[in-house]
Amino acid sequence: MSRDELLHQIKSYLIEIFEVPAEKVTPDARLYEDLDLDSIDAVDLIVKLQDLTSQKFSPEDFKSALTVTDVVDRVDAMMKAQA
Amino acid sequence: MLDWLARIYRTLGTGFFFAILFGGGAVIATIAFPIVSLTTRNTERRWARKQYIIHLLFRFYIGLMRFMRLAFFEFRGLEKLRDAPGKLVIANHPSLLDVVLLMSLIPRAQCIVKQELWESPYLGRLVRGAGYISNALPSEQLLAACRQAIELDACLIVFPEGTRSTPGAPIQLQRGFANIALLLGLDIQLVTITCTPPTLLKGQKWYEIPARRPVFCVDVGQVISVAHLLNDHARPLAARKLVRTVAAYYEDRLANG
Repeated sequence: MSRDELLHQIKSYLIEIFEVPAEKVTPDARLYEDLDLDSIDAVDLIVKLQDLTSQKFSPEDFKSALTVTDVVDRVDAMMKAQA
Repeated sequence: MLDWLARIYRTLGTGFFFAILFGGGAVIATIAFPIVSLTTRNTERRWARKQYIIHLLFRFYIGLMRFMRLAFFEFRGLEKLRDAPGKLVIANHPSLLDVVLLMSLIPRAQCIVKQELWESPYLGRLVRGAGYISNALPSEQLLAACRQAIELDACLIVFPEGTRSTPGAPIQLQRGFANIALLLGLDIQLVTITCTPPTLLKGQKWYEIPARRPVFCVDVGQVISVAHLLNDHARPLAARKLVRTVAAYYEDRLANG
Protein backbone atom coordinates (compact mmCIF):
# COMPACT_ATOMS: atom_id res chain seq x y z
CA MET A 1 0.00 0.00 0.00
CA SER A 2 1.40 3.38 -0.98
CA ARG A 3 1.66 6.33 1.35
CA ASP A 4 -1.09 8.12 -0.54
CA GLU A 5 -3.43 5.20 -0.16
CA LEU A 6 -2.62 5.02 3.51
CA LEU A 7 -3.29 8.70 4.01
CA HIS A 8 -6.55 8.38 2.13
CA GLN A 9 -7.64 5.40 4.22
CA ILE A 10 -6.75 7.05 7.54
CA LYS A 11 -8.63 10.16 6.46
CA SER A 12 -11.74 8.17 5.73
CA TYR A 13 -11.53 6.44 9.13
CA LEU A 14 -11.28 9.77 10.86
CA ILE A 15 -14.29 11.08 8.99
CA GLU A 16 -16.47 7.99 9.28
CA ILE A 17 -15.67 6.57 12.67
CA PHE A 18 -14.71 9.65 14.61
CA GLU A 19 -17.08 12.17 13.03
CA VAL A 20 -14.27 14.55 12.18
CA PRO A 21 -15.45 17.09 9.59
CA ALA A 22 -13.72 16.26 6.30
CA GLU A 23 -12.25 19.73 5.85
CA LYS A 24 -10.43 19.46 9.17
CA VAL A 25 -8.50 16.34 8.22
CA THR A 26 -5.34 17.82 6.76
CA PRO A 27 -1.95 16.08 6.90
CA ASP A 28 -0.76 18.53 9.56
CA ALA A 29 -3.89 18.32 11.72
CA ARG A 30 -3.06 17.34 15.29
CA LEU A 31 -5.04 14.29 16.41
CA TYR A 32 -5.88 15.40 19.93
CA GLU A 33 -6.08 19.16 19.65
CA ASP A 34 -7.47 19.72 16.15
CA LEU A 35 -9.42 16.53 15.52
CA ASP A 36 -10.78 16.04 19.04
CA LEU A 37 -9.61 12.46 19.44
CA ASP A 38 -9.03 11.09 22.92
CA SER A 39 -6.75 8.34 24.18
CA ILE A 40 -9.49 5.71 23.89
CA ASP A 41 -10.11 6.80 20.30
CA ALA A 42 -6.41 6.34 19.59
CA VAL A 43 -6.70 2.69 20.63
CA ASP A 44 -9.67 2.23 18.29
CA LEU A 45 -7.77 3.85 15.45
CA ILE A 46 -4.81 1.53 16.01
CA VAL A 47 -7.11 -1.49 15.90
CA LYS A 48 -8.49 -0.22 12.59
CA LEU A 49 -4.99 0.21 11.22
CA GLN A 50 -4.13 -3.32 12.28
CA ASP A 51 -7.12 -4.65 10.39
CA LEU A 52 -6.11 -2.60 7.37
CA THR A 53 -2.50 -3.69 7.22
CA SER A 54 -2.84 -7.10 8.92
CA GLN A 55 0.03 -6.15 11.19
CA LYS A 56 0.28 -5.98 14.92
CA PHE A 57 0.84 -2.51 16.38
CA SER A 58 1.15 -1.49 19.99
CA PRO A 59 -0.06 1.84 21.38
CA GLU A 60 3.60 2.46 22.23
CA ASP A 61 4.41 2.64 18.52
CA PHE A 62 2.15 5.65 18.20
CA LYS A 63 2.97 7.40 21.43
CA SER A 64 4.88 10.20 19.74
CA ALA A 65 2.50 10.47 16.78
CA LEU A 66 0.83 13.86 17.04
CA THR A 67 -0.45 14.58 13.55
CA VAL A 68 -2.13 12.68 10.73
CA THR A 69 1.17 12.63 8.85
CA ASP A 70 2.93 11.15 11.88
CA VAL A 71 0.49 8.25 11.87
CA VAL A 72 0.96 7.66 8.15
CA ASP A 73 4.74 7.74 8.62
CA ARG A 74 4.66 5.21 11.46
CA VAL A 75 2.42 2.78 9.64
CA ASP A 76 4.39 3.18 6.43
CA ALA A 77 7.69 2.60 8.20
CA MET A 78 6.40 -0.49 10.00
CA MET A 79 4.98 -1.98 6.81
CA LYS A 80 8.29 -1.44 5.05
CA ALA A 81 10.15 -3.02 7.93
CA GLN A 82 7.93 -6.10 7.60
CA ALA A 83 8.20 -6.35 3.81
CA MET B 1 -29.78 47.91 59.67
CA LEU B 2 -31.24 44.43 59.88
CA ASP B 3 -30.30 43.77 56.26
CA TRP B 4 -26.82 44.89 56.98
CA LEU B 5 -26.55 42.60 60.00
CA ALA B 6 -27.97 39.70 58.02
CA ARG B 7 -25.38 40.26 55.35
CA ILE B 8 -22.55 40.30 57.86
CA TYR B 9 -23.92 37.11 59.38
CA ARG B 10 -24.02 35.44 55.99
CA THR B 11 -20.54 36.61 55.05
CA LEU B 12 -19.05 35.32 58.28
CA GLY B 13 -21.07 32.14 58.04
CA THR B 14 -19.97 31.52 54.46
CA GLY B 15 -16.37 32.12 55.48
CA PHE B 16 -16.75 29.68 58.33
CA PHE B 17 -18.15 26.97 56.07
CA PHE B 18 -15.50 27.63 53.48
CA ALA B 19 -12.82 27.26 56.14
CA ILE B 20 -14.21 24.05 57.64
CA LEU B 21 -14.53 22.45 54.21
CA PHE B 22 -10.83 22.87 53.50
CA GLY B 23 -9.46 22.90 57.04
CA GLY B 24 -11.83 20.22 58.27
CA GLY B 25 -11.03 18.07 55.25
CA ALA B 26 -7.35 18.26 56.06
CA VAL B 27 -7.97 17.53 59.76
CA ILE B 28 -10.15 14.48 59.04
CA ALA B 29 -7.59 13.17 56.61
CA THR B 30 -4.84 13.55 59.19
CA ILE B 31 -6.71 12.26 62.22
CA ALA B 32 -9.62 10.00 61.28
CA PHE B 33 -8.13 8.38 58.19
CA PRO B 34 -5.04 6.95 59.88
CA ILE B 35 -7.30 5.40 62.53
CA VAL B 36 -9.36 3.73 59.81
CA SER B 37 -6.21 2.63 58.04
CA LEU B 38 -4.81 1.12 61.23
CA THR B 39 -7.99 -0.76 62.05
CA THR B 40 -8.89 -1.91 58.55
CA ARG B 41 -6.47 -4.13 56.71
CA ASN B 42 -8.27 -4.66 53.47
CA THR B 43 -7.70 -1.72 51.10
CA GLU B 44 -11.16 -1.80 49.56
CA ARG B 45 -12.90 -1.88 52.93
CA ARG B 46 -10.65 0.90 54.06
CA TRP B 47 -11.80 3.05 51.16
CA ALA B 48 -15.42 2.12 51.76
CA ARG B 49 -15.18 3.18 55.40
CA LYS B 50 -13.45 6.43 54.55
CA GLN B 51 -16.02 7.14 51.89
CA TYR B 52 -18.75 6.52 54.41
CA ILE B 53 -17.10 8.91 56.87
CA ILE B 54 -17.00 11.56 54.15
CA HIS B 55 -20.67 10.90 53.42
CA LEU B 56 -21.63 11.40 57.08
CA LEU B 57 -19.53 14.53 57.42
CA PHE B 58 -20.97 16.06 54.27
CA ARG B 59 -24.48 15.26 55.47
CA PHE B 60 -23.72 17.00 58.69
CA TYR B 61 -22.15 19.89 56.79
CA ILE B 62 -25.19 20.46 54.60
CA GLY B 63 -27.48 19.99 57.60
CA LEU B 64 -25.58 22.61 59.55
CA MET B 65 -25.66 25.07 56.64
CA ARG B 66 -29.38 24.58 56.47
CA PHE B 67 -29.80 24.94 60.22
CA MET B 68 -27.79 28.17 60.21
CA ARG B 69 -29.96 29.37 57.35
CA LEU B 70 -27.04 30.24 55.12
CA ALA B 71 -28.64 28.55 52.14
CA PHE B 72 -31.79 26.68 51.18
CA PHE B 73 -31.69 23.19 49.76
CA GLU B 74 -34.20 21.51 47.54
CA PHE B 75 -34.01 17.88 46.53
CA ARG B 76 -36.02 16.13 43.83
CA GLY B 77 -36.15 12.48 42.87
CA LEU B 78 -33.85 11.36 45.68
CA GLU B 79 -35.44 7.91 45.81
CA LYS B 80 -33.72 7.16 42.48
CA LEU B 81 -30.36 7.39 44.20
CA ARG B 82 -31.16 4.18 46.06
CA ASP B 83 -30.46 2.43 42.78
CA ALA B 84 -27.30 4.41 42.16
CA PRO B 85 -24.79 1.71 43.22
CA GLY B 86 -23.27 0.27 40.08
CA LYS B 87 -24.25 3.27 38.02
CA LEU B 88 -22.38 6.23 36.68
CA VAL B 89 -23.75 9.39 38.28
CA ILE B 90 -23.24 12.44 36.10
CA ALA B 91 -23.86 15.98 37.27
CA ASN B 92 -23.32 19.47 35.99
CA HIS B 93 -21.00 21.55 38.08
CA PRO B 94 -22.16 25.08 38.89
CA SER B 95 -20.82 25.45 42.43
CA LEU B 96 -18.22 24.44 44.96
CA LEU B 97 -20.81 22.53 46.96
CA ASP B 98 -21.82 20.13 44.16
CA VAL B 99 -19.65 17.26 45.22
CA VAL B 100 -20.48 17.86 48.89
CA LEU B 101 -24.18 17.70 48.04
CA LEU B 102 -23.91 14.53 45.96
CA MET B 103 -21.75 12.72 48.48
CA SER B 104 -24.04 13.76 51.31
CA LEU B 105 -26.80 11.94 49.45
CA ILE B 106 -24.89 8.80 48.45
CA PRO B 107 -23.37 6.63 51.20
CA ARG B 108 -20.93 4.82 48.98
CA ALA B 109 -19.60 7.05 46.25
CA GLN B 110 -16.49 6.87 44.21
CA CYS B 111 -15.53 9.97 42.32
CA ILE B 112 -13.19 10.90 39.52
CA VAL B 113 -11.32 14.01 40.65
CA LYS B 114 -9.26 16.46 38.71
CA GLN B 115 -5.52 16.56 39.19
CA GLU B 116 -5.56 19.96 40.93
CA LEU B 117 -7.73 18.57 43.70
CA TRP B 118 -5.72 15.37 43.89
CA GLU B 119 -2.63 17.46 44.62
CA SER B 120 -4.34 20.13 46.73
CA PRO B 121 -2.53 20.86 50.01
CA TYR B 122 -5.87 20.99 51.86
CA LEU B 123 -8.04 18.34 50.30
CA GLY B 124 -5.47 16.25 48.48
CA ARG B 125 -4.87 13.97 51.43
CA LEU B 126 -8.61 13.48 51.83
CA VAL B 127 -9.29 12.53 48.20
CA ARG B 128 -6.23 10.31 47.94
CA GLY B 129 -6.97 8.63 51.26
CA ALA B 130 -10.56 7.88 50.32
CA GLY B 131 -9.31 6.10 47.21
CA TYR B 132 -10.95 8.44 44.72
CA ILE B 133 -9.75 8.21 41.17
CA SER B 134 -7.45 10.79 39.61
CA ASN B 135 -8.40 11.89 36.10
CA ALA B 136 -4.70 12.09 35.25
CA LEU B 137 -4.35 8.30 35.24
CA PRO B 138 -3.57 6.70 31.87
CA SER B 139 -6.85 5.57 30.30
CA GLU B 140 -6.36 1.86 30.95
CA GLN B 141 -5.65 2.37 34.65
CA LEU B 142 -8.51 4.84 34.93
CA LEU B 143 -10.90 2.30 33.43
CA ALA B 144 -9.60 -0.44 35.68
CA ALA B 145 -10.13 1.76 38.74
CA CYS B 146 -13.67 2.58 37.62
CA ARG B 147 -14.43 -1.08 37.00
CA GLN B 148 -13.19 -1.94 40.46
CA ALA B 149 -15.38 0.75 42.03
CA ILE B 150 -18.44 -0.62 40.27
CA GLU B 151 -17.60 -4.19 41.24
CA LEU B 152 -17.43 -3.05 44.85
CA ASP B 153 -20.94 -1.71 44.41
CA ALA B 154 -20.06 1.94 44.73
CA CYS B 155 -21.51 4.44 42.34
CA LEU B 156 -19.16 6.48 40.28
CA ILE B 157 -19.59 10.24 40.31
CA VAL B 158 -18.24 12.20 37.36
CA PHE B 159 -18.58 15.88 36.57
CA PRO B 160 -18.13 15.82 32.80
CA GLU B 161 -17.64 19.56 32.62
CA GLY B 162 -14.30 18.86 34.26
CA THR B 163 -14.36 21.93 36.43
CA ARG B 164 -16.90 24.39 37.76
CA SER B 165 -18.82 25.95 34.90
CA THR B 166 -20.11 29.44 34.36
CA PRO B 167 -23.91 29.62 34.64
CA GLY B 168 -25.51 30.56 31.34
CA ALA B 169 -22.50 29.59 29.24
CA PRO B 170 -23.08 26.75 26.75
CA ILE B 171 -22.53 23.28 28.25
CA GLN B 172 -19.11 21.85 27.34
CA LEU B 173 -18.73 18.18 28.24
CA GLN B 174 -15.59 16.14 28.10
CA ARG B 175 -16.02 12.75 26.51
CA GLY B 176 -14.40 10.62 29.20
CA PHE B 177 -17.65 9.80 31.00
CA ALA B 178 -19.17 8.46 27.77
CA ASN B 179 -16.16 6.24 27.15
CA ILE B 180 -16.36 4.90 30.69
CA ALA B 181 -20.09 4.20 30.46
CA LEU B 182 -19.76 2.47 27.09
CA LEU B 183 -16.66 0.45 27.84
CA LEU B 184 -17.94 -0.73 31.21
CA GLY B 185 -21.59 -0.95 30.13
CA LEU B 186 -22.88 1.33 32.89
CA ASP B 187 -26.25 3.01 33.04
CA ILE B 188 -26.04 6.74 33.59
CA GLN B 189 -28.01 8.52 36.29
CA LEU B 190 -28.29 12.20 35.34
CA VAL B 191 -28.37 14.79 38.10
CA THR B 192 -28.96 18.48 37.55
CA ILE B 193 -27.67 20.93 40.14
CA THR B 194 -28.64 24.56 40.19
CA CYS B 195 -27.82 27.37 42.52
CA THR B 196 -29.83 30.60 42.43
CA PRO B 197 -28.49 33.20 42.69
CA PRO B 198 -25.13 31.77 41.66
CA THR B 199 -22.53 31.62 44.39
CA LEU B 200 -19.10 30.09 45.03
CA LEU B 201 -18.35 30.28 41.32
CA LYS B 202 -15.01 29.59 39.85
CA GLY B 203 -12.73 32.57 40.43
CA GLN B 204 -15.06 34.12 42.97
CA LYS B 205 -13.81 34.94 46.48
CA TRP B 206 -15.67 33.32 49.35
CA TYR B 207 -16.79 36.67 50.76
CA GLU B 208 -18.39 37.82 47.51
CA ILE B 209 -21.74 36.52 48.66
CA PRO B 210 -24.94 36.96 46.64
CA ALA B 211 -27.55 39.57 47.58
CA ARG B 212 -29.93 36.94 48.90
CA ARG B 213 -29.53 33.50 50.34
CA PRO B 214 -28.81 30.96 47.60
CA VAL B 215 -31.13 28.07 46.87
CA PHE B 216 -29.33 24.89 45.89
CA CYS B 217 -31.45 22.42 43.99
CA VAL B 218 -30.40 18.84 43.31
CA ASP B 219 -32.66 17.19 40.77
CA VAL B 220 -32.10 13.45 40.27
CA GLY B 221 -33.45 12.94 36.78
CA GLN B 222 -33.40 10.54 33.90
CA VAL B 223 -31.43 7.31 33.68
CA ILE B 224 -29.78 6.70 30.32
CA SER B 225 -29.11 3.14 29.31
CA VAL B 226 -26.13 2.82 27.00
CA ALA B 227 -26.46 -0.79 25.85
CA HIS B 228 -28.54 -0.01 22.76
CA LEU B 229 -26.09 2.68 21.62
CA LEU B 230 -23.44 0.06 21.11
CA ASN B 231 -25.77 -2.09 19.02
CA ASP B 232 -26.21 0.71 16.53
CA HIS B 233 -22.78 2.28 16.46
CA ALA B 234 -19.11 1.57 16.94
CA ARG B 235 -17.76 2.87 20.24
CA PRO B 236 -16.26 6.16 18.98
CA LEU B 237 -19.52 7.25 17.33
CA ALA B 238 -21.63 5.99 20.22
CA ALA B 239 -19.52 8.03 22.66
CA ARG B 240 -19.97 11.19 20.63
CA LYS B 241 -23.66 10.60 20.36
CA LEU B 242 -23.94 10.02 24.10
CA VAL B 243 -22.11 13.27 24.83
CA ARG B 244 -24.55 15.14 22.58
CA THR B 245 -27.56 13.50 24.23
CA VAL B 246 -26.36 14.41 27.72
CA ALA B 247 -25.40 17.96 26.72
CA ALA B 248 -28.87 18.44 25.20
CA TYR B 249 -30.46 17.11 28.40
CA TYR B 250 -28.58 19.63 30.54
CA GLU B 251 -29.24 22.49 28.16
CA ASP B 252 -32.92 21.70 28.33
CA ARG B 253 -32.99 21.25 32.11
CA LEU B 254 -31.03 24.41 32.77
CA ALA B 255 -33.11 26.46 30.35
CA ASN B 256 -36.50 25.14 31.45
CA GLY B 257 -35.90 24.14 35.05
